[in-house]
Amino acid sequence: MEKENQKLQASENDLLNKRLKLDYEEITPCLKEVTTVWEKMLTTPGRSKIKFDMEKMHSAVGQGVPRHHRGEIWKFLAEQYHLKHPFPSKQQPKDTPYKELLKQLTSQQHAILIDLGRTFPTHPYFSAQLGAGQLSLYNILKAYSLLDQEVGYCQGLSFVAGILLLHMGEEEAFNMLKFLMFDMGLRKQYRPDMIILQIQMYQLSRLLHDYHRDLYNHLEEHEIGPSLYAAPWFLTVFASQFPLGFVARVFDMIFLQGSEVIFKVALSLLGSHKPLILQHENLETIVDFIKSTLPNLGLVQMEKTISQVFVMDISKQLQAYEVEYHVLQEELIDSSPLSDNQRMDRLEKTNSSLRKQNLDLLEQLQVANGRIQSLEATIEKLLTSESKLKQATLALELERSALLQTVERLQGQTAELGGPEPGPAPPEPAGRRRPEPSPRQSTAPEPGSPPP
Amino acid sequence: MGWGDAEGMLWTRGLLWERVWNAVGNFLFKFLVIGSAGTGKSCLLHQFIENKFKQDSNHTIGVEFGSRVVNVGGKTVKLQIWDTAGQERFRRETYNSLAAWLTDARTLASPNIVVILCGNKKDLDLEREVTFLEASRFAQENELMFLETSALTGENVEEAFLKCARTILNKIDSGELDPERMGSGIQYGDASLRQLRQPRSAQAVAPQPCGC
Repeated sequence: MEKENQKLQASENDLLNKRLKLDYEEITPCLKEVTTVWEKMLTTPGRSKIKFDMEKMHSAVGQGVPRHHRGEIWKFLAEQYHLKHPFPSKQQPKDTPYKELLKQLTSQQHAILIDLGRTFPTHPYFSAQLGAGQLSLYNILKAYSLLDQEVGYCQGLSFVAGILLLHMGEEEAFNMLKFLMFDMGLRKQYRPDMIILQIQMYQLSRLLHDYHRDLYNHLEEHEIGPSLYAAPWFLTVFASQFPLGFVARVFDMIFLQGSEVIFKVALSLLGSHKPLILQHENLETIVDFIKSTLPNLGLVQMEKTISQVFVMDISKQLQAYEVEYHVLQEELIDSSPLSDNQRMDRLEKTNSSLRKQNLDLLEQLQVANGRIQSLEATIEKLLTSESKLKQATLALELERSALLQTVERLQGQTAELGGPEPGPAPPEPAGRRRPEPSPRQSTAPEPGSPPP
Repeated sequence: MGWGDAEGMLWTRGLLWERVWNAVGNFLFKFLVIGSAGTGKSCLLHQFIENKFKQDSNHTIGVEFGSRVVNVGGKTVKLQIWDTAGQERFRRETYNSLAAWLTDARTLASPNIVVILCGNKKDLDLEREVTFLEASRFAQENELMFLETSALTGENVEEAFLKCARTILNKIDSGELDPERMGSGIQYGDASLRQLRQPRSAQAVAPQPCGC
């Protein structure tokens, strides 16, 4: 009896926790029809093996994601990604089980611990010191730091893990963190040299220049580069400053399209608040507006921002500006009147960054080679099975012609034996004629045949 | 502040870097707060700007800043304080975003920089790991000013910032520093400076690091 009570209590706690975790205002409230569409997809039998239509998923995400299914939908989107990309083009982590990782010790323990109380500090699920939320957060971050030794723990990651934890259980959240980092492309910005973050800041600045020139000029005039406001946007996927409903929508899109979404959201955010930003006339008030006021401007603006993101395509520019960044860095070294020491310093930095890139490329090459090998193996397998099938076809054809001959022979024999029988059935087309019915077959009388 | 702060983090080194802008009678000093993660940099800043302890705050990602206008020895000085993320890998990123004045400060100003060492979380006296004497000696050997502060109670926080400001102003007054003369070599202007200057004069004054 007591056990039963405890069980009930526990499940009640779970429910309470779930309500607590999902207690946020949705940005694109999901209509009943859309929820039904999602539910249908989620409950499709054998779902994890069926490739769903990309268009359909895209439009469903666009129309909204019901809060109560959100975690499941993220898992579903990840599942679909893996189905459609059976040969990952990006580096993959070792496949150490979560439970194994939890048993190990991390050198990042201190860094993780001091950030636990400083991650969603006012959210009821995370605010209790060493409460369920903080413990799960600690476990995930610790496990990740062990899984990915290069990144380890980087400030900002705790927010990403936190958002996942609000929507699913601990181990699932860990798996989804892995997915976002390795498959959706979030990982590179957290590496210890943080060069990718700098490149991202440059790319954002160039995108602003392309799409919102007046705003770009305004910010430039006050010497405000994206690194003064956008670093947390990228490193926490907006989670450290923006309302949860908004962040959840950004996550929806990242699960669908990858980390480029952050650029789109940033650009769309700045664009849709341009008139307000232009009203501010000095560095402090502009940055303060972007950091504190903009995240809380209300649902309508948020919805507008999100819906714009769905129609943007900036991947070409992003590529071009990354290349441009490297070229500029080189030119900077070549042209600037620097002392030998500074020159040396810069060259060393460039060198190490190039080495890093080289390693990355090597890694990509390895992955690609692996992929080629596995594709080649697949081809071989397919070829083998093709030739087997050809042989089978041949055998079947031989059998068929043998059977045809038999039929003909039997027909000849029938004719020799009895001549034309009274009331014969009309002849069937050649080759499809059945052999004479054996007596056993007559137990299932054909229509029209005389009763026994 | 969250769990983990009490654990061995008593000793904070917040370094305040500064440089000074002469804006025709008004000054703008820029301070940079650096130190390890979880030592209370953001809380020091918040206590100084808002006069209260910052409860329930996120850890700092990237760079934050705040400013406050103070009166030091009859002069109006605007202190613009840049607060940085503590984790080591962010340092380079931080430097880059502050490159406009920091690279410059580093190349021009190493002898001219005013630094104060703050031993923060003074209120956690029971968990103290570094004695006042040890820290004072360290500061003396490295020619740093030194104060023990508490962002929680506010003890010595204002004093730390004002002490820096006073030191800089004294150097200017004594002629050790000449903002006018030093204004000649630097190419770029500063947006905040232009702002500060606007009502008074349009005379171009370039930013300069200050001596100590």
